[in-house]
Amino acid sequence: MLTIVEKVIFLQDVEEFEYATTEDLAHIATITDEVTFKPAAIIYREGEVSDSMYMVIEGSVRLDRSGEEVLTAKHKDVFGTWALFDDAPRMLTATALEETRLLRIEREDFYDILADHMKITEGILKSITKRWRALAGRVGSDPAAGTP
Amino acid sequence: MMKKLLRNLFDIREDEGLRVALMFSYIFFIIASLLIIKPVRQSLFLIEMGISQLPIVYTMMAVFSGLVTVVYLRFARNVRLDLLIIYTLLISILSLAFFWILLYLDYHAGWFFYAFYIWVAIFGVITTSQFWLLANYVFDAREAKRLFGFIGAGAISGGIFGGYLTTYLATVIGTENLIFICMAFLLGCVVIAGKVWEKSAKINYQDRMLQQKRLRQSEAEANPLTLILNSRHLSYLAGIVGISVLVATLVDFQYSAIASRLIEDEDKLTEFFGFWLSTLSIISLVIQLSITSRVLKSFGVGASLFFLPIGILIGAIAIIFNPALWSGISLKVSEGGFKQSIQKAGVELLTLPIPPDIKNRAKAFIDVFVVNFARGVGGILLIIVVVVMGLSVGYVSLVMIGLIAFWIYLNSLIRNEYVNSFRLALEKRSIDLDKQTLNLDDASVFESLIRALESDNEKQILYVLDLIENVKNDRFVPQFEKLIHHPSAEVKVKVFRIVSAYKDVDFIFEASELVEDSDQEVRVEAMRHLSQHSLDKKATMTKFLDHPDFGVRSAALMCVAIESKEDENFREDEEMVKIVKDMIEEALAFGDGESERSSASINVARVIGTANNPALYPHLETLLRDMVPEVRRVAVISAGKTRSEQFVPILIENLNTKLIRRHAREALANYGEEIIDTLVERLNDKDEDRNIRIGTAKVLALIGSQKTVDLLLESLPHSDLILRYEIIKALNKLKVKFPLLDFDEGVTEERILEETRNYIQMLYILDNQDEYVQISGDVDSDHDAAARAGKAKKLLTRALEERLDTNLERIFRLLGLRYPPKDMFNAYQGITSNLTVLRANAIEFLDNVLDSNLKNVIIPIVEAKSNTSMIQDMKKQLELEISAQDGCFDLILTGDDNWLKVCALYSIAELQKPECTSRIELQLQSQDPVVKQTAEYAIRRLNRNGSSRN
Repeated sequence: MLTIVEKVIFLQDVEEFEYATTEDLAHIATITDEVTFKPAAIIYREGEVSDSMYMVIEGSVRLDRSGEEVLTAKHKDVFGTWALFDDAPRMLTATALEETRLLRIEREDFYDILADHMKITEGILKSITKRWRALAGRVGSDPAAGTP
Repeated sequence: MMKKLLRNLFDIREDEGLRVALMFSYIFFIIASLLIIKPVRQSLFLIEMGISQLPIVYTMMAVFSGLVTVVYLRFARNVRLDLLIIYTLLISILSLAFFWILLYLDYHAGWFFYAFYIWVAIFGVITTSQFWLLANYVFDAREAKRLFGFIGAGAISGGIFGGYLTTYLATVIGTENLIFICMAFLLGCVVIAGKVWEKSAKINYQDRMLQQKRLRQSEAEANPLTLILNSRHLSYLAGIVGISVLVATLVDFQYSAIASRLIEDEDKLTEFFGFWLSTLSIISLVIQLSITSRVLKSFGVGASLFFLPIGILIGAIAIIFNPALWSGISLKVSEGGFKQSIQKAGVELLTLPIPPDIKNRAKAFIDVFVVNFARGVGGILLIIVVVVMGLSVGYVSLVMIGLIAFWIYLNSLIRNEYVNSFRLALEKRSIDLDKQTLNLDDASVFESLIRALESDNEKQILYVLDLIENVKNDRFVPQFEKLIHHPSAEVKVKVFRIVSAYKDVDFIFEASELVEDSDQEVRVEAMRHLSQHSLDKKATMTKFLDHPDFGVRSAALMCVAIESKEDENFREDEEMVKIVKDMIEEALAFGDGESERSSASINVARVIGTANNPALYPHLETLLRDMVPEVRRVAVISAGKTRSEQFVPILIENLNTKLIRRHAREALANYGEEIIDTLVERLNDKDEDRNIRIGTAKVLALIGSQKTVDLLLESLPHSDLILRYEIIKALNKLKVKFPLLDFDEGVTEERILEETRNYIQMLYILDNQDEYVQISGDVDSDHDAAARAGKAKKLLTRALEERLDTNLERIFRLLGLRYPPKDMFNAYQGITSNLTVLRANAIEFLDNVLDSNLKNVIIPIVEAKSNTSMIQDMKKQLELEISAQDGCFDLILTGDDNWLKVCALYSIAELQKPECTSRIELQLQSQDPVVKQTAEYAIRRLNRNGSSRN
């Protein structure tokens, strides 16, 4: 089992939390669960109600849509992130490819943390804004998009 | 009896009597003194300097008034209003004493009479504007709409009194000695202003200063001249105001010239001017009461604008044919009489459709620059006609006639522009409801409102209902009769509320039906309407409390709560209280399902909060512990309304309840000063839950009292890191929201130095950590262990850097208590910016602003973040004792920062520092679970590695 500090060290590399302070990461670490999946175990299925996000501590996870592989998540990769922000059904199926250890954050717990720590919310909003800007920049530079 | 009379005649309510009386007396004495001093200066100037100098003094008056007003406005922004008023009045009294001494010594130098003439003009503008500014803080917007009419009557009566007193006394005590009466009146104003400020204006002033600051910031970019030039409506308005002032200057000249030619004695001349000033006030009043309203109703604003120019035109023609005293007086009467009545009402109406922010800027520009410019042009025209060309007063009339022709042309242009602007303003809903009193006398305004009330647009209907809420006018009743059947509940509720002010209007039939409406608010208002028109209020309410429908009974309960809040007899009626208690018990037991029970409980919680009857408190106590959060939320709000001591502990408990804590904070803040000691006690209680301690700091930030500031500053040194931050934030909020609170400079400075010491200590740890946080040889040889040690070291460094950042933020927040908060915020933004120029500017700014003792410690830390020699210097300067033997782990583990302790413990474990074991063991007793867990982990790691080495 990881200690809180080890979880913090792990969470430092999660893009969504890049603006959080180490102490805020410790608050997030307190709501994470360590879960283990055997090879070929289904973590979640496409179309299921989404409620958690996952980070790979050890092992690897295959993400596919209707049987077609989209990507493989490995050590430190994060998947199912949008579950933290809305409850739309899962778009992909996640399957453990080997004995896999994951850190899981449930949406309900995450919201509780956000309510108590405004700075974490600010950091996440900053991170999302950064991604939007990057996306807008890419769209803007694409002549096919028809924007100047 | 008197109270009843005041309420019936002028709608002055119980708690407003003293405020209204003080403000009425204040404006009475200001205007009375003005109406004494004006004839004095007029006769002195004409007798001593002669009529030929009058155009010159007009021009000089325009220039000096403009300059002084601009300088005054800049100065006034930075001075507290009460001090500004009292100093202005005291300076005025001293100036008057000075003028009297010179007159007594028979001093006849020309400059003195010019100075006196101009001084009176500036005195009049500044003192009256200060009065209305103060009035805006004494009364809120709603009160102002009701009471300004009555207070304005104080000005009129002061004018009549002052002028006639001058007439009577001028020949008895002599013109010069009238100045003493003025001084006495102004001294009275000093006392009244002080009392008004302490009793009523101080608190509102603090609140609104903040709003005005924000408004000023948002308005900083706007140029009023551009606003006027870009709007035809504003351009015409400025033109009309300008030309009316220009013509008024010519009228004043002709009137003064004729009077001074025919009356040669100084005291007689003073008497004449005094008499006609007062008589003009009476004529204005008569015109205002008898004609203004009729003209506006029948012909609208367009026609009202023609009375003044045509009146002056007739007077001017009379002077051409016969420049006698009667023609001079008739010219002045037509100008003065119409200017303060019909013309003033017309111009006020013209500004109605202009959005408030634009209006404020444009009006200030017109009042200062356009008015003075026009007066200056008037003076120059007179110099040309009378002094240079040597023509008689009859020729001035010819010039005036030309100007009036242009004035009339402008009036015709603005009429069409006004109707379009008003239509647009209603569509855009840009009329500010809090700042406007709607004058329905204007036919076009009234028609536009009726059209809006007949529209299909619910939002527009509600907007217009808000606009007319405080303007009682029977012509709206047919619209109300239609709107009471409107499908929107909000519209029906609004109509019931408005109609409650119309004693003769009842919708009993409609209300009887609407008591069973599906909307609770409609049911409540319908019942209130029926109860208002019922002879036996109690019987009416009892009938609804017995109604078979639970919804009707719930509404009746709320209705009783509202009535008992407003009506003492109702509140103390034991039978009624018993019925309500039974009803509440019934409501609390109502319904089988959770949602029915909850909605009944929510209604009960609201009822108890509204009624605020201690007999009902036990039920509220129960609801505050309800399982359903929404019920608890409403109960918390109601408990705050009661301000009862018994709810304080449970409200404090709720500071730790998500979704409710915000309401708990507001509810506790409602208690005000009486709760401060309890809150501070909980804040300083080390055994109290941390969230509750943080919550109490947030509540204290809402209570703008000097006691809060003093106690929070006192609590700072005894609080840990997180609480310190929350307390400083609370102090920052108090500083911004209540600018009149005093933040003891010495104490604040001491707190800044304490935080600076913390900063230097943190910097010392960061700067020296390499010496202590070294990866040992054993670890280095194990690749995996080295990687873990590297991560631990990196984490500790990052945590230390973050702490430095928050420490710096605390320092600047504290600086914001000592210096203007906005300046310190900007400086902090600059210091933490990545841009070198911004950093350099911020440092330069701080270098110029900070006092030397603070500058000596702040500048070095913002100039260089990590510098060994700087740390050594600062250690000396701040008398900080950090010994070289104190390793960074020691400093962290003996400090109060739990997160840093966690990072240090983890580093000790991963860097393999067995020499730190005794210090780790001390942390095994920590109350903080993460510190304890990490200490256990560190002991395990060190033991495992120790045994593997053995």
